[in-house]
Order: sequence, then C-alpha cells, then structure tokens
Amino acid sequence: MSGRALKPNWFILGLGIGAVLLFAGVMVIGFTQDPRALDTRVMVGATAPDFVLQDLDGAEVELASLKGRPVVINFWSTWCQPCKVEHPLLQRAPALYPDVAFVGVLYQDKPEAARSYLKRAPVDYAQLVDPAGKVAIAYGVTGVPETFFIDPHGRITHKLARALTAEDLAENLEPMLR
Amino acid sequence: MIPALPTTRVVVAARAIALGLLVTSAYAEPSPYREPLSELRQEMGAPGPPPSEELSRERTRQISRGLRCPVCQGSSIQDSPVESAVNMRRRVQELVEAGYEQRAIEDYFVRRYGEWVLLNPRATGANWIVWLLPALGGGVALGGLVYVVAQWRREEDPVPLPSDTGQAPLDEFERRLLEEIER
Repeated sequence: MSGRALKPNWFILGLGIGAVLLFAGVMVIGFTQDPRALDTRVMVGATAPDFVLQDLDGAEVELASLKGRPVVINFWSTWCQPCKVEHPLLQRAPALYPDVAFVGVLYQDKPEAARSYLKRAPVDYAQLVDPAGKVAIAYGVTGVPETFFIDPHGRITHKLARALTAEDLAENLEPMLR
Repeated sequence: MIPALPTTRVVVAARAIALGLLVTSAYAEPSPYREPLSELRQEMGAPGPPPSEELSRERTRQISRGLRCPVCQGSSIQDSPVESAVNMRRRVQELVEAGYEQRAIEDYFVRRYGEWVLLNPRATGANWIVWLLPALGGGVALGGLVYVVAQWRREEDPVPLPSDTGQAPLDEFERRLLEEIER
C-alpha cells in the first residue's frame, strides 16, 4: 500500500525558518548585552551642567568659576567600597596634576560621615554636599563612584562608572594639559 | 489679623513641612543648591504656564511611572522607595511645576541617563523593531494558521471509503462505532 508523498510547502517552511532565525537573532542580542550596563557615553560631549554647592566647611563652589582648566568631578560616598579603593589615588591626584581642578561631590551620604572619613584620609580639594542629589541627577549619576572629566571649555570628555585608576587620570588629563 | 486658612490647606502644609523635615533630617546640614535657570531654559526651552497643584501631582505621577529607577530591578521611580528614585521623582515634580511638558521632561532624563531610563522605549529608530515585532509575529502566526486551516478544508480524502460514498453498506466496525458515538 503506498501513502501520499509528502511535498514540502516552501512558503510555510521559509516563514518558519525566518521566524526561528529572527527569534534566535533577538535572543543572541538580548543575551550578549547587559540590560543593566550603564551607557557611560551619554553625557560625553555635552556641556557640564553648572551648579553652585557648598563644601563641607560651608564655602560656596561654582563650577563655572573653574572654567579655563580641566576639571575632574568625583561622586563618592563613605559607604561605597570602590570609592575607598580609589581614595588613595585621589589623595595624590592634586599633586600629580596641579593644573587640574578636582571636585568631590558627596552622594547620598551624611556630611558628618564624610568629615569623619576625611579627617582620617584627607584630600586636598573641595568636597561638596549635594542636597536631594540634584547635581547627581543633573549628571545622570546612578551610583558611586562615578567620575567626570571636563575640558577647559566646560565640555564633558569622559565619564567613568567604576573606581578610578592612575591610567584613567593619565589617559584623560594629559591630552588636555598638552 | 491672620486670615483663617481652609483646614485641608493647613493639613497639606503641615504634611509638606513634615516631609521636608523628614527628608532634610537625613542630611543634617543641607547646603543651598543653586541651579542656573538660564542654563535649564537653554537646554529645555521656555516652559509653559505652571499647572494647577492637582494637575501637577497627576503629571508627576504619570511621568514618574514611565521613568526607570536606576538602582532597582525594572521598577519605575514612582514605585520605588529608594533614595535615588525619590530624588528623581522630586526633580520631575520641580520640572512639572516649572511648566515643562512630559516630552521635555523625559528628554531631560534621556540626555542624562540614556534611552534606558524610559520604561517604554520610544517608537523611533531601531526601537521600531520592539514595537513592530510582536504585531508582525502575531500577523505571521495568524496568517499561517488561516493558510493551514484553508489547506485542511480544501484537502480531499485521497481514497474515500466505499461507505462514505454510499457505494457500500456500513461494515460491522463502522456500525458499532457510530452507535457508540451516538450513545
């Protein structure tokens, strides 16, 4: 007894294969990207948002007043472990780069905690208090540490969302100082 | 003489003060933050007329529901109690109260955090894929189903049984089967 010969329906087959490939493509893209990974290029090229904040001693610091030289803004807190890792470098940084203005911005932390921490491990630059995280929002900060490099014209040239290294400082500051 | 305030306003004011104290108590020494408004206008354009208090609250809620909390797992800043979300919500409220529209406020956050901050990606550029793919997939599946069903209906029995065509009486098995079905 002979059964019917099965003839493939090329249209349906093609449609099925296309759908599977499309699905596989979407899955590959999805699984090879970290949806929580930060896009650190977002603010690069933009004018650094200006602000006026008080430091831990109550003195006002205006970002615009630092224009004309490279600026490094470091968002940090005393409860952040990577911040502690980069802190020794930040203690040395102003001496390594005397023509650069370093600014620390306290992120979701109490001023007294910062004062106590800095008493033990002082830095030679202003540490600003950011009430309600307004400056952090203006810079799109999502956690700490985050460091922004700003050129003498006030443009953000690089954003770093991890602990700073000596190489980071050299790579980002030396071209601006030449 | 101080004019008597409506009770609800007094309650609202008291709550606002209490909330303010609560927020500032976390940072014993809040320093005054001054934002250059001219810079904000340059970036966001001129704001419209400030909305009423009720409309402002509703708009803030609506916009906050669409913005991703940066430190949470896929929840909006409206739904999250963490400090980053509270601060961002407060920022949304300030911009709403200043008279900015939803699109301008979303753009403000996108410029800082990237498209990632929007819980619903905008239907622009490559994002169209996200919006079109489900519709396309559904359409293809439905089309395929219709096609297959149409094929089934058209398909004729290659070797019809003699009893189906009335050329022969039902055999014993068919008769018993029909009886079982009808029972």
